[in-house]
Amino acid sequence: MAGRPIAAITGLGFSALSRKPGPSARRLACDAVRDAAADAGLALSSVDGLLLNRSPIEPFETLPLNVQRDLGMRDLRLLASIEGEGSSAIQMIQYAALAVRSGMAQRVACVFADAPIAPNVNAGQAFAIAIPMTGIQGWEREIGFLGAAPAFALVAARYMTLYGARPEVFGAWAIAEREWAMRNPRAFLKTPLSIEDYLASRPIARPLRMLDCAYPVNGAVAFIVGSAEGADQGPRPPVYIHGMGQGHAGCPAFGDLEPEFDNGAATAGRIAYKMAGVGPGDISSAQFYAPFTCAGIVALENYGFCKRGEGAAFVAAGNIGPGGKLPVNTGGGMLSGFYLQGATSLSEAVIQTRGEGGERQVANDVVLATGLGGRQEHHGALIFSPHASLA
Amino acid sequence: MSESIATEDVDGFRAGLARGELMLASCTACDTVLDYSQRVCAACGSPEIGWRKASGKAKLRCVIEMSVSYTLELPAPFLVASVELEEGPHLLAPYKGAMESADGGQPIVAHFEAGGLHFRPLPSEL
Repeated sequence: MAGRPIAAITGLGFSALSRKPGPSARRLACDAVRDAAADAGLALSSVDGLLLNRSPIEPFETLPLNVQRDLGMRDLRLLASIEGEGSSAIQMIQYAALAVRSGMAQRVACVFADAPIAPNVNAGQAFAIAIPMTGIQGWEREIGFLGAAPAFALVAARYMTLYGARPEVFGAWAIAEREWAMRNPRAFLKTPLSIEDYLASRPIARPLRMLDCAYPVNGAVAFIVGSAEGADQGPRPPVYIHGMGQGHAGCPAFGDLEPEFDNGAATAGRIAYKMAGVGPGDISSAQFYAPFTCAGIVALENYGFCKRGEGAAFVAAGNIGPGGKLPVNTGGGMLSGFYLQGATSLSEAVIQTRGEGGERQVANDVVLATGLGGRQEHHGALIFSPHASLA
Repeated sequence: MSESIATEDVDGFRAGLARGELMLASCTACDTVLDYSQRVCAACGSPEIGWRKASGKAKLRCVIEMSVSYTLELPAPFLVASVELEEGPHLLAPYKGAMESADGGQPIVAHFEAGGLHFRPLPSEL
């Protein structure tokens, strides 16, 4: 299959993004879908598929299938809500590409929407849920293990335990993302960040500090997936999908297994690379789903850019920031750009592949976008290119 | 991402805690020790989960500090360890030891105090 695209992304749309309480996720989703259709030069009536991705910690009704009616879409040939936790956004694009490639649908809108920040709920409170990790019902709440932060603090702590990484390494990741964010008009945190600032930021779940954590916002992002044939006839540069993969290792917590690291991401990457006929050395920029600094370092290793335990040194050497060997999370990522789960890395990958990154634009021949779900149990990867052939 | 489904399977763990005993889930058909998230034995397919007493011996995997208080009952800071029980399963549990000396792999042991489980370094490691 290498050389021939599976499908293409022809539209990208955003709702307003905000750190303040505002419209519902459902309303934001509609704004983004309309924006994406317009971006693709399409009437909404010509879109015949709709895939929805709500935040996995919100109830189904937050983004129900009835969004179809909110949008006035009729006679859809594909409609589903995708549940792969944080890997859902990548999965939506994959299923849309398969549907388009097979002829089930012609143009599929894929939308992520979330509004975690409410009048009496700040960003920290919104994600202070008890992630079930042990499988013992209620145990995490009982021992006070609340929020996504401690789940990823375990990843950082285990990494430090096994590989001796120092806190400054995680700081280097946060600083690189901040430097990218300063070049992105859509990013939220744009003041210069020093290692002293990082080390002084307050602990959330040691070893994680505030500046290791994602910056949640309310918003929605939508994508239009269509056939690769004719994708270059639209108003925007085409984003060809050349590779797709998923990996779900199950992360059994037993014996000498390392669920913090051997989590399925390597499988997702291997399959996507093989399908596209490329390898890590061909990647122009990597857009990782990294809600915490440590997750990004683990992703660098799992997607083949460094060996296990060497991601920290790779980051510390300045490879991922502006001017680095492997530009990573060029929009500022989830820490300094904005956190909209899988839509963060996916939207930046589309912008880079189109060459629309402005001040932050880097080489874009082959762009990797990844998604990550839960406490790292679920992974999806996509390989994009502006070129119809990678041969 | 809803919380784990309540089933009778998990009662053995809680009942054990009430007695001051750390329990392991195991398959009553083939005796395989299961990790705590399993509801069906992956080795033989039996859904008959039983419970047996763990030795309480474990290896420390890593330690984190909950640095922010989310509930009145559990004021921060406090430590939580990821432990590997001697029988295999990993467990998260309160930890009474020094975070700084938690270099991984060190022997630790389960303790019960006021009906609550925590792990602490073996006396020789203190």
